[in-house]
Amino acid sequence: MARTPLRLLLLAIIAAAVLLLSITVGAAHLPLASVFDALTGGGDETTRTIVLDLRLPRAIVALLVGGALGLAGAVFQALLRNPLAEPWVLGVSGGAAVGAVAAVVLGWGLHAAWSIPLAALLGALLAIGLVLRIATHAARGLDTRVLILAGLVVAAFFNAIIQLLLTFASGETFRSAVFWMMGSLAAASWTSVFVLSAYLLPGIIVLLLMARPLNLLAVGEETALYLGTRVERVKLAAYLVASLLVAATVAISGIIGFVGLIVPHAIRLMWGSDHRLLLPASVLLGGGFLLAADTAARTVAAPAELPLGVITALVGVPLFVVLLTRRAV
Amino acid sequence: MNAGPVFEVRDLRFRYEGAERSALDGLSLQVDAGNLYAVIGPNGSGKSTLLKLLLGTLHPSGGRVHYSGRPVDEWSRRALAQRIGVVPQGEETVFPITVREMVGMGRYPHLGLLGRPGPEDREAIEEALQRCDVIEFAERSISKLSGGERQRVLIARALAQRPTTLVLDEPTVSLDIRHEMEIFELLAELSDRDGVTVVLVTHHLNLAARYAERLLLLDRGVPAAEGPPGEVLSKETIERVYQWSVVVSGHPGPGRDEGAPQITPLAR
Amino acid sequence: MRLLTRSGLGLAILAVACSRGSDAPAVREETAQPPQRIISLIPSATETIVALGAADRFVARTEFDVDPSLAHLPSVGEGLTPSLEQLTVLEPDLVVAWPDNVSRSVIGRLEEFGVRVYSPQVQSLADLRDATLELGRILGLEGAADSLVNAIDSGLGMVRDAVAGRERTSVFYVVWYDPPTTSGSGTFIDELIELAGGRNVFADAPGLWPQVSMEEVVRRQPDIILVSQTESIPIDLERFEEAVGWRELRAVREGRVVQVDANLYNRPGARVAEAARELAKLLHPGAFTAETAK
Repeated sequence: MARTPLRLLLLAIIAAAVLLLSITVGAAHLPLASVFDALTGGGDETTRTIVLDLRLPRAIVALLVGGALGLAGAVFQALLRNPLAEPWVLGVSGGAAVGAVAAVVLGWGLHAAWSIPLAALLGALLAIGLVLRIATHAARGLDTRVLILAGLVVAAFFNAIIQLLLTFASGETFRSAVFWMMGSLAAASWTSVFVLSAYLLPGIIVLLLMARPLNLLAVGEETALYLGTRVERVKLAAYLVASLLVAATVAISGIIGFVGLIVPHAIRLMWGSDHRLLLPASVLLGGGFLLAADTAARTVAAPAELPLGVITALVGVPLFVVLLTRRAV
Repeated sequence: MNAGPVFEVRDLRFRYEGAERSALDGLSLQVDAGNLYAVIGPNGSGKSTLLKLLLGTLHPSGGRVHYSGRPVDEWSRRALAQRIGVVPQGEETVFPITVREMVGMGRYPHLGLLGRPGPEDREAIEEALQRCDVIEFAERSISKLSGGERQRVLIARALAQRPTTLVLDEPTVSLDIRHEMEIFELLAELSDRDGVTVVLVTHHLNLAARYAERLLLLDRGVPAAEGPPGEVLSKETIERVYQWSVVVSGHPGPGRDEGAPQITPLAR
Repeated sequence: MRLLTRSGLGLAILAVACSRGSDAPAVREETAQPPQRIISLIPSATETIVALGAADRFVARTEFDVDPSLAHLPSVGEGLTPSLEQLTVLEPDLVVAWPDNVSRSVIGRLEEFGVRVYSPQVQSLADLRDATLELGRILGLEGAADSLVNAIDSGLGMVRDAVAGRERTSVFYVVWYDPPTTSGSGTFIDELIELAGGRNVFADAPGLWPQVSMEEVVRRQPDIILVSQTESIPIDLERFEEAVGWRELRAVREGRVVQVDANLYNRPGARVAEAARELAKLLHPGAFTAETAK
């Protein structure tokens, strides 16, 4: 498709513009000139700290997390052949939340900075394993209907555990746990940028390479088989890699909804369902959208920070409705 | 190219899990290169099951199925897809996609993970669109087509694969006379002129009689008759298998069709 | 397989980062100057610092700090989810932050920028003593800290003496009324009640803030009901007189329902002796004559 590179370029430019914007605004009102000074290594130390150690890594994490969520959403929608599929429908977020809430409420690893992401990741892996086990046990191969049901059931179960854990929480840990679950990038640092990149980039590349097999799966599993796809392998690989991507994002930033649902749909409404465009476009638009949402989350009600998951829903839904009514397919 | 039969089946048996009786029981057949081979029979006689076994999406409970001299199981899906074009019966597409994109999928088995479509691919797609008479709505979304138009697009997709073997499951179900004839003419042309082996399941006894070199008549999983149309489509056999009175006459011709048995069911 | 090795790699990287986190530059024990620019996100710690005489060292306050001497300072919001940027721009050298994981992972980043972060536990009286002494050390005000701790101890001692030997009044502490939510054992309130000569009627309930059934409350018929109040959520005491279940309680019928300030009772702060005395007076009015009510 000749227009694909142009469209991707457009999305990349938008993401870059949002990046620039996000570095220049924040709770600390820094004049534009000093921001640019800081970027080139000059200016005073405090400004440099804010721009280079707080805003910049946070913006990059937002791009990475948003991109991963957008991509995972598109992949889940193809896999489950269901346009309502969202990264958390398969129980991944529930598992991660159990890990994180347990860590917060029970005070695990209070002095290790990575205790929560690690606990969240372990919880997510547990959820993925559980869902896979149930789905493959109940039906031969990876039956997508069983997968959805298994995911919902596991998610509900984990939700109940979270409620239970919260009853044992003191006031502050309760608020902290709830705040974590609503999504936040406040703890982003250069370390998290490196770890996230190492983890997410290979997964993103693997999924991007699956564009053609996913095109085929979207048409039908039998057809995909006849056109040369190793259907079971592709489904399993897509499910695992997408779930691991989501697990990493939830571990770092809590539960951020709507990005995985709305971004792929927006692309589809504008430019169709060919995954060779849809997948990379979902990465770019997802990243840009989440970065914009995070920038709003930390500036709109400064000095307080609004929960990120709330912003993505409040802003994302009306935007999506506009798109839907203007371009009904 | 292998000189032997394209499909070879020996003592094939298959039973669905939990079913009382076998779907196929003791079936042997051979499809030679360049032939047009039709599988006919009443509903539930096992025709679609047979296709799935030929294509390796189902595994036999007994007996064996060979494609081009090797067991079907030993072929990779990609290798099969480069040689066999399949037109399945009815396909539900959830996502909107244009006709050209759909037909373009036929080239995927030849492209691999990272390959970009080249001039040969584009040519194959154009040709397939033309031959199936769907070129005028190449840029339209599939969801906006009629059942018959969609059917022709699926056939075009299989053609775009430039297959040496074509397997079709009831390809003319929603087509009008003109388009149905065009498809059968196309299949005959592919088989006679281009040497493509065609295996097709159809309800249309009379067209099968005119265009197929050999027929397999299935009756509840067992072959009732196999061979050239003249041998298979006798009044006794048809009435026994289909449980209905018929009259068998010869096609008036002219041309290749002359003498082909034509079945006319009688009223009560 | 490739996925397993990738997850393994990812976990390995996290593990490395974990260990890096814990040997991040250890907070400087003895700097030449004790901290002069303080931001405290914990209201009770703020109170303590003010009580130590270091109120002039604050550069910001939270919305919960109502002390008039701090009113002129910029606010950093409620204190649980402060903006790192805003904290950085105020250039503190000491930040007192909540000890839970989420706050630590955010506020902990300030340590990378050379800011000292102190995260005291604030659950019990013992915590209060430790935190007060530690703050004294950090601020170079050990003498003041010792005096403060002694003052608190003697204040509490007086309360203990005043109620010693008296039969314990059973107390139902209402955190919220619908559904009835109270404080269990292990909370500071529970400790305070014990100290003031009372008995938490739900000390046996599991968890820190258990929801209890109205039936159970009625069965236990507490002698007195304390209703926790904050300015943001005022509770009208009259509702208890009409509400189902509540009106079966003797304490309600006989007018022994008292509003208490949540800020004073929920957390151990410098004013804990005052809180204890106030509570003891409620529970044992006869114990406080003109002499002891100093």
